[in-house]
Amino acid sequence: MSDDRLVDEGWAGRPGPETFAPLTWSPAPFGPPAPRRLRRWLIVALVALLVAAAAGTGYLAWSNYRTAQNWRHLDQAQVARADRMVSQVEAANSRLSTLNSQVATLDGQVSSLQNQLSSVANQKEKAVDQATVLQQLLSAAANVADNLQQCLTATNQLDADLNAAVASGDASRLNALQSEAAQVNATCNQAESANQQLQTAIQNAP
Amino acid sequence: MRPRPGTAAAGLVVALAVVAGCAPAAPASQPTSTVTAGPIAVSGSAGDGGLLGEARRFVFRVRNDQCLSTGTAFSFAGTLVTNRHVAAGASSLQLATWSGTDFTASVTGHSPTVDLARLVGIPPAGTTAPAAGASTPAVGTQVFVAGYPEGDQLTVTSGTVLGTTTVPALDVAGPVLEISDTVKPGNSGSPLLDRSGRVVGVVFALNASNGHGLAMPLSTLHSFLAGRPTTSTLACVA
Repeated sequence: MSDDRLVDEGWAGRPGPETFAPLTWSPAPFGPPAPRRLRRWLIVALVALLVAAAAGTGYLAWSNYRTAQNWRHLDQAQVARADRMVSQVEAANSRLSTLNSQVATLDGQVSSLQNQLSSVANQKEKAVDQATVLQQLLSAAANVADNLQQCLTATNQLDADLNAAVASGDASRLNALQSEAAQVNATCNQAESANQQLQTAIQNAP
Repeated sequence: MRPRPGTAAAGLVVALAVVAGCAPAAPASQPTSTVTAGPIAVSGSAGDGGLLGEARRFVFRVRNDQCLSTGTAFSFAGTLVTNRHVAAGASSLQLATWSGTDFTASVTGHSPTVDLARLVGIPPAGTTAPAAGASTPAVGTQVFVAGYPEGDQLTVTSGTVLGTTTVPALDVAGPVLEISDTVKPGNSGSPLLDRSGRVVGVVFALNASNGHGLAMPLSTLHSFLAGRPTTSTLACVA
């Protein structure tokens, strides 16, 4: 407040030259009457509302645009990822198929090698079987040879004894040789029988 | 609003071909050349390589040097088992795996009532013991014989259980299984297996009149292993 106002309103204690006027206050008129002012406020509010609505709609449109853009980017990223995964799965399936094929081939090779091993082992075992049989035959042949040698020795001895008995002209000596002849005969029969069995065994040997 | 990306399995037939097992290496009765070309593949069987692969781990070829004969033995329940007539005449036997690895086993005993003998030996590494079957297979059940017929390669053949019979002529007490499998000499001592490779019996003879194989059931094997075997040495089976 300035001092001038004080002066103008007449509140100063300083006396003036004029006459006193009634110290009453009448509000000065500021504008149009009330209905016009209300309408003006309504228009202002409506305009403000329209501006706010336009701003909100604009924001929503901008927000939807942003969201749509984000979805679009994500969708493209997903599609690209899915494409990569499909190609990776295809590559993995191809590798799996190749590995399965290799495993099948290896299984076949292992099976074939096992069959060969079994076959070779079988041949070895049969060779050992034959070796065992041949060892038995060899042992039997040695016994047969001994028996035949005993037969031969006994026969030669009998022959010599017979010749000596005949040369002596002693009939009793000849009679005594009969038991020796029987023993020689038994020995030779046994040796011959063993020999026949051995020959049969040799013929049937593997 | 931030979008979140989304995120996207016997028969009684006495004319039994005695001793199915001994495929004599002896000259007098050496089997003729009816050797199988190779192991018989069995489909639908247990494990990789089927029953043959399984059998390779526990079925052995037996050579009886004293009697000049061959047969089959298998590991079971911590021991080696074969037929009494396969082990007869010997105190030790020469065993071999399917791949030709040899080892020796001592004959520790045999049964006086059934055709079974127990052996003790150290099989090569990799040998396993098969599981025992749950029960005696019913008539019609498919069974397999794993052995060395005619002293040849390890072979697995399939057959069917035809029923039970008794064979007093072979000095085998109790009922035995009759199977359609055409076992051959050399199969004596072969394990009789089910589809899962579990032991359900022991092959010991062949009915010559009809070609059916004869096997002692698992219960007989269990009884033998639980009992006290006879240790006397038997004479070679002719």
